[in-house]
Amino acid sequence: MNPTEIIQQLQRLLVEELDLNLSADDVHPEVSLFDDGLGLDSISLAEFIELLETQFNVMILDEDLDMSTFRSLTRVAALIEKRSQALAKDVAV
Amino acid sequence: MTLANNTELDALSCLASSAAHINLAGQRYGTAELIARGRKLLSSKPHILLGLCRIENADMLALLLASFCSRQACLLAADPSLLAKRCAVIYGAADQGISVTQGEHSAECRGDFAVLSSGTLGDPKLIWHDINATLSTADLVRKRLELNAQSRVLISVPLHHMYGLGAALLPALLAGSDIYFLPKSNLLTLYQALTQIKPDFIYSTPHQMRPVLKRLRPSTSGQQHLVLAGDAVTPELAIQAQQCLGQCFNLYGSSELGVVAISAANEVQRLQALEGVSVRSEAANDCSDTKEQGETLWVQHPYAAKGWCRDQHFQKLARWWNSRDVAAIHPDGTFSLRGRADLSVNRAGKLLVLAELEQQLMSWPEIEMAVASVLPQQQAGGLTLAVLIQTAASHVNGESIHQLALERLPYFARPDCYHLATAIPCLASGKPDRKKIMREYYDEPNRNYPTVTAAAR
Repeated sequence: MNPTEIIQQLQRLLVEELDLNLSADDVHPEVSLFDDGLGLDSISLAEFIELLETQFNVMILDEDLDMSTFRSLTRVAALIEKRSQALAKDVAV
Repeated sequence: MTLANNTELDALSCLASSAAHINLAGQRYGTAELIARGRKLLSSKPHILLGLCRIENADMLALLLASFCSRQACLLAADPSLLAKRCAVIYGAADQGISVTQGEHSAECRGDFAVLSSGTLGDPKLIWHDINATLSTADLVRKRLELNAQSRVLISVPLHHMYGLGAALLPALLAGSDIYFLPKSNLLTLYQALTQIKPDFIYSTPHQMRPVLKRLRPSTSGQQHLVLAGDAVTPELAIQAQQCLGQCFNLYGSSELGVVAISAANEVQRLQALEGVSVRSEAANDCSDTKEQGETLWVQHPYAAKGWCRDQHFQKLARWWNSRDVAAIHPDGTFSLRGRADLSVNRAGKLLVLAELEQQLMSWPEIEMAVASVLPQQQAGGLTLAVLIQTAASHVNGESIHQLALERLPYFARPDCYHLATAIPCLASGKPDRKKIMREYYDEPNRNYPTVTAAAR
């Protein structure tokens, strides 16, 4: 999956899977997930992170749980790509 | 300087001379520095009732501490509209510094500060406290938890409630601790704070901590103390906290009384009243609307609020206060809470405390949150029992939960209908917003239940 496809998938998750009353227009790639953007609360963030793990089949590590990582969908997509590559490397070994 | 070492000094002097530091948004402030800053902000507004709306930055903290030390009356709330009706001047925590608004009119002060009850079930009350009394309770908390000048205290709960203020901030200030205040915390900020600051004491709520504990690595030191409050403090959550952090305490209190009791470490079901606080239980018989049974907890607290106001009418707090919580007092003097009496129901002749049902449901896999409601419609066994379930698992549905309920719950505790949600409406405190749930899910004409109706009990 390339970064554009990941972002599209993330947009779908936020609009369809989380009960946030968001429309597709609200969720552009650079929008913040926090109070200055989509305003995800602690519970929604936890759900979003769990969805990332199940939908993209990746492991979000402790070191990833950082405000800057979740500052925008572009950054989250970069994290997904990084973790997918790490997983592929592990499997190859 | 603490009350313990200086019994001759009044509590306010101890607060004013506290050696504590408060870390907020990357800055570190001394208590004296904040008080001086607040006094400067207040200098042009003596003798008026202040409204402090959301204490989330250094100026608001400064105003709070200075109003206490100057004994200038203030109201604390999260909603500016609640302050506008009562206060001459309202300070709000705007993102850029403070904003000052002129309120509609001033109200008569009945104490040093007032908090608003959460209003989970009804209209919020304005509850007036004496700051010296609140500090006396804070000192009992400090002693019980053994907070000291070396403690690193993380506060991730709001300061306009008695939990954040009376159980966390004031005890830590009296102890001279290093305080890390995390307003508007979320999973990421809380996780970051826990791993980077490595606090000795963490004040939080079950709703905040549940997703964090799921991801936190087990502690190697076991030296951290998690203080939780609220009826969602389950034994399962306490075990998780014990494994990840070391020690878990359950704190019980109310807006009217402040802190009443704290459990021993990792014994969250057994609450021990603070020194000087007396408790007794008495059969509940005055809530005919829910046909409640069982015994409610009555508390005599030496440092309780002066009284409360609703619609300008002031009512002095009774010497013995009915908490309206269903409780069992044990032979050793400790007590356990089952849940709120006004959130319990008689089902087929048995008392069902909704909090106990919710805790049971939340202990099942995949159920993140459950909120039970009693609806006025009659079923064969009594009033209708509806449950709203929060789950992110796609394979969980009303039918599967209903099947589990048939297998695992006694007949009188089986809900009549279920509704699923990906996010249950919550108050800022993290507690479920029961009024909103009722309005959005069950009240006419929005009624959209049941997802599954349990035909057989």
